[in-house]
Amino acid sequence: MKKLIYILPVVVITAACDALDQNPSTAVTVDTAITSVDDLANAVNGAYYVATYGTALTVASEMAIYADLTGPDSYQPASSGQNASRLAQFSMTANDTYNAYYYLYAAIASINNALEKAALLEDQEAAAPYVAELYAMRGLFHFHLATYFAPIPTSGNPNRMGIVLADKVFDVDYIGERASLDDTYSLIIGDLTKAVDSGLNKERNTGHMNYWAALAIRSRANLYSGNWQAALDDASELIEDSPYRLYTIGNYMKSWSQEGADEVVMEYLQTDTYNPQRYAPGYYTSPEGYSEYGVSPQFYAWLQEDPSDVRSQAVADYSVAPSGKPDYNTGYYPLKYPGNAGASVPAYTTNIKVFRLSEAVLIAAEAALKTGADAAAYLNMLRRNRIQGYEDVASVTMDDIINERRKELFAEGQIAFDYWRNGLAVVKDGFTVGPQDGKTILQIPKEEIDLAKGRLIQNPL
Amino acid sequence: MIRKIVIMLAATIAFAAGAAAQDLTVTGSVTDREGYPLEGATVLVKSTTRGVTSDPEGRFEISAAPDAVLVASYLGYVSQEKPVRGEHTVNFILQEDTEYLDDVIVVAYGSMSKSDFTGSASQVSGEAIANSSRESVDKGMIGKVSGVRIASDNGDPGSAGNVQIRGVGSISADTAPLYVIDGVVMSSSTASDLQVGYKSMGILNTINPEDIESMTVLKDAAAASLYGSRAANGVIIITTKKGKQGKTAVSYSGEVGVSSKANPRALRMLDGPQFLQYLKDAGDNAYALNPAYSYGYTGDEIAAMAADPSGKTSTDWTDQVFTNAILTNHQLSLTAGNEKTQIYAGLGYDKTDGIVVGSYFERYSGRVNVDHKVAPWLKVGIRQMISFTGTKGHSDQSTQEQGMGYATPIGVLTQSDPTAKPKNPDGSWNEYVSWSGQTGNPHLVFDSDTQYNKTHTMRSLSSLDLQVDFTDFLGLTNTFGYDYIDNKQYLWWAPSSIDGAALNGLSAAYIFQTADLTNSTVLKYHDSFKGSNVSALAGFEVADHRVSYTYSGANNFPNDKLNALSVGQMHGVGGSSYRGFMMSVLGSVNYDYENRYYASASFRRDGSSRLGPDSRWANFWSVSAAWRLSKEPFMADVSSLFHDFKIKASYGTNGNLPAEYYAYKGLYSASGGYGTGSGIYWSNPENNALGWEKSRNFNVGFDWNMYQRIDIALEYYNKYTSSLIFNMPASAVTGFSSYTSNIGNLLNQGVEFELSSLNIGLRNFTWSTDFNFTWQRSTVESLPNGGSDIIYGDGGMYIHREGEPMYSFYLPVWKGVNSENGLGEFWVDPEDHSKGVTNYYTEAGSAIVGKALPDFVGGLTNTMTFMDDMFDISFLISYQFGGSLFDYPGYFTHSDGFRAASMNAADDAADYWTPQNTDAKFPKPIMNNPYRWDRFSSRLIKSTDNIRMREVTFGFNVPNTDIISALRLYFRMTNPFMIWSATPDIDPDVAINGYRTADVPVTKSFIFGVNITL
Repeated sequence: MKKLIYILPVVVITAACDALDQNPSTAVTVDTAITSVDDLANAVNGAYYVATYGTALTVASEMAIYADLTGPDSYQPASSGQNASRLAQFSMTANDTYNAYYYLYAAIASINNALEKAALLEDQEAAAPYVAELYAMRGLFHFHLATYFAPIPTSGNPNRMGIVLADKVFDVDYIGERASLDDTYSLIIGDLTKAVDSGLNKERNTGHMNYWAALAIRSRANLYSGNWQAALDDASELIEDSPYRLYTIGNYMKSWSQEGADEVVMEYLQTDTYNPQRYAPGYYTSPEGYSEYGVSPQFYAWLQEDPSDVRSQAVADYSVAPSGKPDYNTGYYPLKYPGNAGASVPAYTTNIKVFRLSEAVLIAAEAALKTGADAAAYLNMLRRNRIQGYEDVASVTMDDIINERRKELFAEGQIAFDYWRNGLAVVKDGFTVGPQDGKTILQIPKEEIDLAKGRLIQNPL
Repeated sequence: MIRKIVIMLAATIAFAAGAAAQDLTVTGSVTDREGYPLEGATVLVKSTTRGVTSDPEGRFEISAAPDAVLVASYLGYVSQEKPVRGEHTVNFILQEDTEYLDDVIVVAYGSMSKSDFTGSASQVSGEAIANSSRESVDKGMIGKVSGVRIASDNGDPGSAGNVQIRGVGSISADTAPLYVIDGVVMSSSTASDLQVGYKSMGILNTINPEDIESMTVLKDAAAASLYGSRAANGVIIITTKKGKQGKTAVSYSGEVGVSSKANPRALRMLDGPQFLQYLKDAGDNAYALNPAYSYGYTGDEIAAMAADPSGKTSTDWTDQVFTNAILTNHQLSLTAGNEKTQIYAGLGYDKTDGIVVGSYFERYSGRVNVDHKVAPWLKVGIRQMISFTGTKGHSDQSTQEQGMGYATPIGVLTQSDPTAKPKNPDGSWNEYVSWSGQTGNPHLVFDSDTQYNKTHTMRSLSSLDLQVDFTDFLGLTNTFGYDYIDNKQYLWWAPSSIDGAALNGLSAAYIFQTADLTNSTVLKYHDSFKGSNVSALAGFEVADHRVSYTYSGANNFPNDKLNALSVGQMHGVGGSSYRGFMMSVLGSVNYDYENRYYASASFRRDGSSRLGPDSRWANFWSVSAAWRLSKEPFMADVSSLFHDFKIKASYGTNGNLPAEYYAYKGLYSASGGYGTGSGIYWSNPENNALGWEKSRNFNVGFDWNMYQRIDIALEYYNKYTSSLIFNMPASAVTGFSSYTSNIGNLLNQGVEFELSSLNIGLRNFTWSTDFNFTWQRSTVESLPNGGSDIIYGDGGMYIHREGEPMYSFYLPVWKGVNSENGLGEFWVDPEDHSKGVTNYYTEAGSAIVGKALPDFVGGLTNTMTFMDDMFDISFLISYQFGGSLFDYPGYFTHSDGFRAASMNAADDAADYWTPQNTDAKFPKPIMNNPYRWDRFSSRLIKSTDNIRMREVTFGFNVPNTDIISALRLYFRMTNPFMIWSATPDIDPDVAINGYRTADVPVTKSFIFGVNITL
């Protein structure tokens, strides 16, 4: 008996010491996370996962239609005070913007960590394509942040502050200051250039920032920065050399539910498992969902003026409620979020188109106009694929290009930016928001401002 | 202890007298009030040393002088004297000494006499708990123990309450006390280990209050340090009932009652005509400002969209959402035992319906406790509890994340159009009553089976005690416990339901399983010599805590009829597991000299898997001393006034662990994915230095018994918590919103006062009073980064600022309504009013506008009995002063028109500014109000000061008969009315952080009950 008393504690303590080192079932330690190229490939996916995390105000939920909600053609068939109508009414405050800010920076932090770990891998050659993609993603995510939280360089907004740049792994107590707008766009274009210069990833890779997607986003960033020639060069390369093809009139309407459709250079994948549910654009554009993003009756009527234009079919007239559906929110709605083919809940699950080849054509047209090149040729190229019996025009104006963008890219997160970067005011029911207006820029989350103790300057209202 | 004193006293007196006379042989018996023989009772001839003990039948035989007086005494019973008067037979019927029962206190790893105890602890009988609530143990403690606050604002049956002992011990780590049942530390599962957030569920509800003999609250370091690491928030020791030797008793008790919303004034909305006027004004005001705010409609056009724009219909939806609910309770128990074996067995059933139609809580529980003496040196105790708990209800807002579910009770209430009728002319429920169009008729939403949450919880709690006595003074106790909880949570949103429509139905099953294995082995020593008593223990303990979680969900159901997972299409699966391990060595020494001078010390060393390898192990200790002045000769002159008087002091340390399992580890989560591919991402930054949160506790006080009728205890404590486990906010740029660190200090101070008095003690009338009072203060002492403020909580509504209380609300300060233009005004700088006012929320400066924790809390119980205990009345009043709450439902119901397009407003919101009503409480309503006066500000901070009648009980005890040894009938009211409240239109019961969630409000109940013992 006595012996047992002495032995027992010793046995238990020895056995239990290992038990004090416990590991989670759904995570691995940072040191062991990326030890192979396969791990690195998963880390690339992980950064997309975080950026498009299934919640409110991410680039796959309301922020995907941010520039539409704030643009001239949006209309709210219903308002239950959700984020979309608050964005549309420019009433988002610094208390509300946290997710838009956080998930992109969290994805960037994961990218920077993965880049550090990738440098330690043995097979650098096999790692290189993923490293190139990580740089391209870092550029894209900074670009998203810059369009939400900083002015567009060509807007003439007196606020010239950029965003906090995250180009490396930071300690958890790091407090960043805002870079200048120029430095912000230098990093964006620089990161995208790293991916382009690698020359890797030229094959189609749906949902991923391949070579062409890096080139595409760089052309947009150059356009936003006023680097017209650079924008034109990138857009031209995409149009001429990439494996993407403009939709035809025949396949235009089918494309919205397709994954990897002909002209989609970059899209965020949405699945039954990973989607933002009711924060998805599809739920906001459903008359039986939140119904907070419709198009204005004027915009609908304008598109219907030319029935030979296939894009007139991309909006729906739901202005009369079907019988037996009193909760139906009547109005005119975009049809670009019909749900991926085979999705369990279509309203939650439509891939977010980040860049389509038609945007490259429109960028080329705009950059050509601004550099004195042949802008009409680009616009004709697009319209031939949209309008039945289209006859080429000889010249185009900036208004033509803006209007073409409204028709082609509505509901895809572009329009308000197009207005503001061209010095135009967004005018819609009750609001006139010029490019120099504080409302064109979201407030940096209050938590960040509070934490920075004066080192992070808020956007003026 | 009392027996010892009695014997000593008797002996002393005997020496003084020392007389002798012609003796008789006197026989008799010693029984208790119920006629059970008391074996081993002492019968003395008064003023002599002559004494005998009773046999197993309670009989004795003693020789005594005809004029002698016999004294019978028995441990735990009041001694009785009877003159012999020349008789040959003298029978004693002894009464249980309630004071004695209170005198033994259950403490860490054992029990001891309260007079020997140098720490701070309060004990409540199980009866007192069960008399208040048969549903939940925590609810039964309200107002009964000083220094303990039970906070809950959720009236849903089965929901969780917060129990707070001596202030707030932590900022980020758990603030719940440690629960120990019969020596076994209960599952350390936190809420997230056991449930998804749709609905609050309290794990304490799995325990049947009727099985509880007593609950002891250990408050200071001397009492709790032996539990070391997890004792910083105090310890609650639950002791379950045991069988009694020599008695067999079968008891039944039953209750039936009805409950309803406690505060009838809470959550009242605008009536039909008021609502129409509000819509008209909100619409017109918005249209004038910018037609976009009212969707291009005028006020009249908006009001015309109401169900009945005529103003002739007015429905009070509050009474449709909240109704009267039935509660029932049945208990059957058996206690039996002989010298070797004692048994307690109990079966219980409780069903408490919720006041929201269609919700309920149900529990079946059983317990068997067996104590057996295998050999003179070996005792075995086996205890097994099993319970099945079921709840059904509706999603609530149990987390602080902003937003209120469409299908939550308060969500439905606020969105219901008061101009819509509940029923159609044909008697069916009217489907179209939602003003927002997003929800439905509460009867259809809640009382149909189209949308609900259900839980099925099984809990098995097993323990085995082995007690080996090597010698008189040395023994070994091994306590093994296994606590297994299986909680299945089911969610059903039918295709036609509000939340289910988009998914075409969702059925989900979440299975949570936790298993806690603990084993402690303790060597115990005690001895007495030359007036000194020494006891000591040394032991070790391991605790293994495992949690697993499985989720499966299906959507796309063919219709509302069936909700089995197989009926729908695959929606998602998930699963993970967690484990926490702890090991400890512990020891303590207690010493006293002649029951006059006491000293104790304890030590514990804990290692936990939740902490970084650099600081995983820590030591916790305490020292304490007491001086029983009433035992000093110089106090002899005032020995009645100071029947017992003891001063005591203690100092020591406790610890606390992070709630997360792997908070210190730098991690890549592998739970993500993109498209069909796996995704891993950096999910947690590393901190290998993450260590224990430590508190240093000082306690000083006295216990005073006056005239054997009045007990007073007064204590002061000072608890200084350092190395707080803190979710330090991080800049989003780092990739993290916060990281876990040991930062900052917190100070809790308080004064506790308890008084219990037998005011009148006549045979036909007794009146006793228990009163407790606590003054407390929790202050943030120091913060990281040079002490700069930390703003946290939903929308940044709280602040940690050095020198300010915990849970200080930090919000823009509302000045009021501008009587000229009807606009709301905030101070630009609340500290400097010269900077003027602003109409815009975003331009308003913030200041500390209140704190959640009250300064004073306590309770008062008065109990009266009449006609030899035949009738009794008792009532409990609780009070609290100095705290505030944040009224989250009020944020929705006082939106100044912002939500007029989707929600009704609270009834008091009718007092808004119009050109005719310029002296209004609220500004003019504007639909989609761009000023956002409704956002979180000082407007939503309300005082929780109140004096509340918690309980009133009327009892009738039927005199004993041959068959029935006890029969009691009673009527009880819980929360019957508010005596006084600073904010009459709100229920002031709120969670510890003062955040009033949008949940079912607190209820009141009226209950009839019966107890029968055979």
